[in-house]
Amino acid sequence: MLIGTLSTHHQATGVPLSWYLALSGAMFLLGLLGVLIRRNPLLLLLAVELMLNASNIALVGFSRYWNVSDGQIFALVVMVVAAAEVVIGLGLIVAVYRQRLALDVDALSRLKG
Amino acid sequence: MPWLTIIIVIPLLAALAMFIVPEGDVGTARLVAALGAGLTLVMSVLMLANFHRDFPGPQFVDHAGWATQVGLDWIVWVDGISIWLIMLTTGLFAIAVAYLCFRTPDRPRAFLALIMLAEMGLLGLFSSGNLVLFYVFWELMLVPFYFMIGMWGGAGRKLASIKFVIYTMVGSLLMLVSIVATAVIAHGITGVYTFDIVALRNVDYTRPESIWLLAGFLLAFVIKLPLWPFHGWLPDAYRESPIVVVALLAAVVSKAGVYGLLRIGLPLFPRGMAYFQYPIILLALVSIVYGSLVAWRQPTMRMLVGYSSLAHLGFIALGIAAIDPQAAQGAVLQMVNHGVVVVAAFAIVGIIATRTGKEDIDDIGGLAARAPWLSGIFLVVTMASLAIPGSNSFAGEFFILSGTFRHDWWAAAIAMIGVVYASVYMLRLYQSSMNGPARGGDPRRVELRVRDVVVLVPLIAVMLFIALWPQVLAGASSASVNAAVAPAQVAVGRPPSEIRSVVLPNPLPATVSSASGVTGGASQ
Amino acid sequence: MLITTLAWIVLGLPLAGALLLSLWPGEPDRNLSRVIGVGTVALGFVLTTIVFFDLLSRTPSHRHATNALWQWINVDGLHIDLAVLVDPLSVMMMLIITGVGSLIVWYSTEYMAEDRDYRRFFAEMNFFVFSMLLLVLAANFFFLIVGWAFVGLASYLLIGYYYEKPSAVAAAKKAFVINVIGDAGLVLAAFLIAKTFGSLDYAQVFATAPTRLGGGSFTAEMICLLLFVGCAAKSAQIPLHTWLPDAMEGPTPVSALIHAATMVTAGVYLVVRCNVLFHLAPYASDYVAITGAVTLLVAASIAIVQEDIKRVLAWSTVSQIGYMMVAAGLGLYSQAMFHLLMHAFFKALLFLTAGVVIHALSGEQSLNRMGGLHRLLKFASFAMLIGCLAISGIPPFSGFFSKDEILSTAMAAGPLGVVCAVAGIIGAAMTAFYMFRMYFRAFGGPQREGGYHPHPHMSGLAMAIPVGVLAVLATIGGFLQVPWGRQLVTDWLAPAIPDQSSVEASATVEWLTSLASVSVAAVAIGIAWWLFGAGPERRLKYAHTLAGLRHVLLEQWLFDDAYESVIIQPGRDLGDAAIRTAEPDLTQGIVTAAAGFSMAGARGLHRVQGGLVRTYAFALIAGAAIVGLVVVLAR
Repeated sequence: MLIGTLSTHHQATGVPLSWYLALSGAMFLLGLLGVLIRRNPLLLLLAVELMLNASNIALVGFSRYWNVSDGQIFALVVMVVAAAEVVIGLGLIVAVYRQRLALDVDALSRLKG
Repeated sequence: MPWLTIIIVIPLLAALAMFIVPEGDVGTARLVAALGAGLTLVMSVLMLANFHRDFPGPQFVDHAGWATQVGLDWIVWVDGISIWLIMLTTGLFAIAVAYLCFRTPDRPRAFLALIMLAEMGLLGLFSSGNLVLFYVFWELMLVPFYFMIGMWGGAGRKLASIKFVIYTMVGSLLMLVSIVATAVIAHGITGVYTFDIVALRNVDYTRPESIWLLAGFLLAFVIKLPLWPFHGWLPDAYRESPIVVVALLAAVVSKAGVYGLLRIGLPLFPRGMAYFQYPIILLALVSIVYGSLVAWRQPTMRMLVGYSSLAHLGFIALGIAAIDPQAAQGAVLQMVNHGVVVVAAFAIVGIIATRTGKEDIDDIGGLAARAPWLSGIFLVVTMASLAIPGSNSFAGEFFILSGTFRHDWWAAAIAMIGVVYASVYMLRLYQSSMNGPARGGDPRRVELRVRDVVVLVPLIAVMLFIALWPQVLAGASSASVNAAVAPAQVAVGRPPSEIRSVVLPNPLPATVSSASGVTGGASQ
Repeated sequence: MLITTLAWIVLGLPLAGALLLSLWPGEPDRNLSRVIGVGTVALGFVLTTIVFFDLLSRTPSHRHATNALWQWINVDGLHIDLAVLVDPLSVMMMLIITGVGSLIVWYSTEYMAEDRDYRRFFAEMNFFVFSMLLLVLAANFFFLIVGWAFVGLASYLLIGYYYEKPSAVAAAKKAFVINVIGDAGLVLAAFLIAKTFGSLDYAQVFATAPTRLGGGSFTAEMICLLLFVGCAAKSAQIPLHTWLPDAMEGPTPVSALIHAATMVTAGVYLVVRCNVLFHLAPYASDYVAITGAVTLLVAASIAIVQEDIKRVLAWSTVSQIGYMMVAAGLGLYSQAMFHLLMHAFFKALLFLTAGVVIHALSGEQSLNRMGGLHRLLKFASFAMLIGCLAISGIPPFSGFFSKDEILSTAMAAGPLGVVCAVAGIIGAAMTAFYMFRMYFRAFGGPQREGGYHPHPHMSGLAMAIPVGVLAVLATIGGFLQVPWGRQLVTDWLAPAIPDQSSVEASATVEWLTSLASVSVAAVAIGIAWWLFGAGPERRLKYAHTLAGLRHVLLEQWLFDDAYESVIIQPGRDLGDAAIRTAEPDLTQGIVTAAAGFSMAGARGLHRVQGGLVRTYAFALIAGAAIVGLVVVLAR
């Protein structure tokens, strides 16, 4: 509601779109790097969370730029999904920990083909 | 009233209800299954009572938008062809549940739940009004059968279930490709993106398109039927499955393949069917002769009946490939007949096998002396199975072959070999088990009991009814059959037969989002 | 209206009897089985006579009526009713079926008295009578086929009546399968008829056939040939005749009713019924006549060497039906029907008398263990003598008139007719020979060595009266139709047979033919008496002359062996070969190929799944990057 009333035109004054995208891209790359080089599942989850939020920023930015609220709604959906994902991910990590296995994703490769 | 949705959902609810039945409470599990199958049967009978005989198009349309933009909807309906398959399914599943109620399998809850799921899958398949639903139900019904074969089967059940599922799935993968391609190409021609079977009938595919699209479907259909030489899954599945599952596979699941030819092949791809007409006729003829010969030489009762099914389905496929309304009408009639007869045959095989503990034909003999009722009913079933004139099966085969004869007399003549061999192998089954010197334990124990009678008598009653008055089935399906065959008749250059048309509102405007059309035939 | 209603009742009665007897809970009282079994057929006969007199009171052109019970099916223009046709031909057959039938069923009440499955016998007999009535009453080809197959089923059940006996079971199966081959021919004929005429109704087919087909058209020939396949199988004509002798495994009354008097003559009935079609098909008709002539000679020759009293009669039935087929093929339809009627009388008489003998000897059927029975079974001997004289065509017994009429008219029916007539005269000699061979070996000569234990007992009234009635009919039946006199059968059938051949034998030919056939028969009887009338020494002396021919005859011209080695065994081998090779190699091969294909794919792909999540992630990102790059570059 609040965001929707801020502006009615996509060329309104304020933070330009490119700033949003730059922030989003930087965060996404950070997250990606985390996913690729980290081995601790907890940190992996964190990195994924970072990527999701990066996309959220992009969504909100575009939403404001085009002045339609779809992107904001979608960002809310992403948040819900992210929360669900964290719940499951943490659950898995706790389960792995209970099995007294090393918290190292490279070691958890029993499902390989 | 959304008749069909209710009919499809009842077995699903019954299957789900099995979860809340306490483990080990066999009585309640039976009750739930009996209620599920019984209610479904009652509903389908009521639906039949309201069915409009002369209308060739969809009736009892239940339509709910889902992803309408991409042509995906929940749309179910029946016409004069599928109503009989629905009746066959509900009737035979009710009988299967009755059989199971008296002979509880291991883990009855799970087994009965799977039976209910299978019923749901088949009912959905026979009533689905768009290709995606068709595909979903086509694959869905495999799942319960996989578990039923794999968990309740004989010694080689693992291999049998995997072979059955993988092989049929290989066929249907191409079907999925074809389904998507059908809609995409139709979009290119008409500008409407739809999977709706009725809407797709009006799409004028070019000949190569029609051929290639049909080819994808065809593999799935001939494997499911099965036609020679695609019956590779059949021997293992029939040998290893519980007898109820074998009966349902032969009686109902195999009809899915035929139904596909009739519902999708002929009306949607008439040019393709014209192209594949003689290959299918050829495979059907080989199935008839080959199935008969192999059935004759089988050592066990169940495999004999199983291979006889291969021959009988060859007849049905021949009736459709003949592209003649008479033959197609015979095929529809024969689908019902074969379902009823083959279930009765397997039920008798099951009764003999469980009571004597033997399945080899040579180990059993002379049962008639002490089991006259069993012998009498078996005789009726034998005669129906070998399609003696005057039986219900003869009515179907007569019109299949008569229609075939009109254009391809040689095909009808070759198929006659199968008719003669049917008497050879069915009499081998009947005589060596019932007649001759007594073998195979105490024949008194084999005599029919109440639990057998409740299964067999309804089947015999249906056989007699159809034998005496097939016009009931034929009259209510001829309009739809003619409508289904007409495009293919044009494609092979024959005049289409007249379609008895009744003025009813076209129930399916191209873009409807709420249920409309003919929802109760008689109410219009 | 009345007569069709009566026809439905006549048809329904034995069906009701069969259903009642087979569904009766528990074991019904024997008297009840008897009353239902005989009552339904006898009542049917009474009602049929009413129908007969009703028709008789009408002018000949109005002697027909059809009535449909309900529309059985209507598929794409092919309309089939469950309907009956009452006309002179069907009424004549009905009279034979219910008349001779009730005598035989009555006879069986005593003959089968010792049997433990009393009610099953009568249920199956009633079912047979129903089926046979359906066959002759049907108003269209479809229900003709239904009746045709049902009599086959009834015959199967009754041949295999003693189902513990493997030979009976095998004989039943053989009869059934050969009849199914016949049915297949008939069904194909029906397809061709439906395709040509768009209908299976007799009335419509026969009315439009002359204009639509024209004489000698290929379609007409094909229809008739296919119909004749059915006739040959049912009426045991070469090459589909091998089942009938084996069918003697059934109880003797069954042989009398089904395998002599009624069912096996259904083929003749069908040819006569389709006289319009056969008239349009000269070649097919010739084929019918030739088949009949060949069959009558072959069957008669085999009958000469049979040792089983019932098998002698069975082969004589095949041979006599050959005469009927000759007549029907030459267009002498009413003569064929006349012989059919006479044959029903004398052959039923012969079988029932043979049954009396078998009954008296507690089941003995071999001529080798008979002899000198004349003094012990006077009544049977007398009845058998009448039957033998009738079948041998000795005047004034019935067979003389019917056989002679066929032979003399055939003489006038062109060159083929002459050939057939000559064959018929030779056949007449053989007939007289083998019949009296049987008679003298059973009743003449000295008693068998060691005498009879227990002493042969005369049958009771239930068996004697039917035999007596049939003996009277076989004696005087021929006077229905005498040369230059009243032609009752021909006149009666005239409305149903528009295409009766109009040839008439001249008086000279008639006399000469009669003289020839009677004198050769008399000579043959004389030889039979000389050879078999005394003790076995004389015939044993000649038993080894012509050993080769005798072997062929004993092996029944090797038809069975030929079928076994040419058709049946190759079929078995083919089935076994399919199981051995095609099943594992071809059908499983396709499965294995499908499985192998997916296995190979899986093997290739499984290397990518190393289990390192970061590899997957990298692959994902790399893939996304490449797609992104492509999208950007492609712009």
